[in-house]
Amino acid sequence: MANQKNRAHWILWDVHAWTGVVSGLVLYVMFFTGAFVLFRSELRSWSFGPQPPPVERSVEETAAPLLAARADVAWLFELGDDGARVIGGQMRARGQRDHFTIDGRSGALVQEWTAVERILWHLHFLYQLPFGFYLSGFFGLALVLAIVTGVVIHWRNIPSQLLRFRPGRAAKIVWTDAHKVLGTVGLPFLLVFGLTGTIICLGPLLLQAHTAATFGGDHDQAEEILGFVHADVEPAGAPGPRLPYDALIARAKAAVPGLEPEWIRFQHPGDANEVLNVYGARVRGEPFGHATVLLRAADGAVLAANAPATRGPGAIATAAAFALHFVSYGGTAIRLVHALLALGGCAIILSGFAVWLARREAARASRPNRWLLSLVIGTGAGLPLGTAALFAASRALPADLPWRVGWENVALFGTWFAATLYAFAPLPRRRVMRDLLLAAGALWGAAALLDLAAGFRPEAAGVDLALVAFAVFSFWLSSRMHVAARAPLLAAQEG
Amino acid sequence: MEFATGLAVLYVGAALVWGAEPGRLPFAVPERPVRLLGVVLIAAALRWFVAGSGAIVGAIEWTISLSFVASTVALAAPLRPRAAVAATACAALLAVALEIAR
Repeated sequence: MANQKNRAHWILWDVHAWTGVVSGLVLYVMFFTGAFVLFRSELRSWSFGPQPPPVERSVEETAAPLLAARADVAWLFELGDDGARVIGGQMRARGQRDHFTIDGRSGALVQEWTAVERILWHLHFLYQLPFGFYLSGFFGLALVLAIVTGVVIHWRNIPSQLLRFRPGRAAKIVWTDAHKVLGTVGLPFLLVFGLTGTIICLGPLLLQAHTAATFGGDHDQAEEILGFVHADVEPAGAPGPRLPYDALIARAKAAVPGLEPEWIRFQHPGDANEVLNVYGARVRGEPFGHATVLLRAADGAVLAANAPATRGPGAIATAAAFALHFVSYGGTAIRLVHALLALGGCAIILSGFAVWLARREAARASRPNRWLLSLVIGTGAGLPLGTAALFAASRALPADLPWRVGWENVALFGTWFAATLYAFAPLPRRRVMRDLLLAAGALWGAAALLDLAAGFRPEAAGVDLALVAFAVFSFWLSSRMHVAARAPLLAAQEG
Repeated sequence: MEFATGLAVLYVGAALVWGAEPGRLPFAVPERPVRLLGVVLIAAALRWFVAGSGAIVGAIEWTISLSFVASTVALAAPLRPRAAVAATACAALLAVALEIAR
């Protein structure tokens, strides 16, 4: 019996360790970018820099000419000022998606020239990879598996080791303590984000799998139960009168009190049977309150709505998953707590790698272990360095530079790749980490200074402060490398 | 303001639970009463989160904030135990000041 228990324990340990090793670096990327994604609107304000005060221009005045000029593309307009004006959007044609902003003075469409928040958002969901969105769901599932197996193998020791961290002890113990403390105390956070992330990313796949068996192949009905609404309206084939878009948005706000319109989309634009889709991620006064309202453009009749007051259990569960994952229920303070916990999640992963490598110290000379260590350093220090380069590039590149967003991508991924290559160089590991952290500190600081040099903006002060904090933390960590060199993670490579 | 008060009370509670363990603080403390007081403060902090954001969101915020505060205390306090005691006293004063200001 004791042997069986022992065997089960080691099987679970292996599942926990291998799940962590295989998915750890990708989860590290998702946690790190997740900390930024929570502040999308703040990052957007920061990255667009000082803007002249916009000229009053209604949604109708901006959207209607663009819709008429390009009927061949699917438009999505992002709204600002509580749905009063268009601030940007995207147009999709033949699988190609182009992002744009709206010039506040002229109302003209301008090719997007900076995309800091969108690049990090895409990286969080692995959009840069084929089927990346679904892949990120599978990695969320791996996180849940690692959490469950981690809890089971440490179950008996959790009460006694919950807050036990012994910084003066041997490095292997320090890493293990840090991993256990962050993993067990941070359990609610990790579990919520692992589960909701999995639901959000794998939900569409699961829905497809269930549509035939549970809903008799009726995909629309299956989606409606989860709160995704449709309007089955055929085009009339001829133009017809319609209400101005501003009036339609006002009707959506009347239909769902508290709705903060975020974007609008169009079904059969210009047609007599045109339908306007108004979406808001927040509904004031509702904790899990995103909403979608579909209106007939001709008379403003509400055709369908996914609103907090009328949701069924399936739609409530979906809305709760989104709200919990994006912390749309909370203010800045709780989002900041989540962001710090997400960075704590990065520390859990890195300490997990340290423990894993420490347990294999006997085989430290093996090539796979050396490669893994280089990859961990290359991503662990390289991703923050690349992100710092992205922020610095966003400030330093000329505003009219052709393919500017492309260069921002190059700054992030190029720097990250170069850092990973550097981590494979035949140099002492502590020197590699110190150099990468020093470079990251310099770039975080440069990004903040370049932004402040263009003029202080209260709406950007929070991001500037965070950049300075990242710079200080990077410099501090680089100065601690002589201490960290005692860690087995490093010793494994030092030989 | 309720969120800040709740966070400060949570910090004091977590620091007391951590410090109740023998040998962690540079001076001796009665283990059980200090731990009990810490647990009571952690539970009581829920009141401020619920008052600020409602029952559902307040409970979620309390849970997540407890994760954050407990991790911070567990990892930072052993590095500088005396500073942790001072920080706990400051957090307690802050909580009282915020409550009076409210």
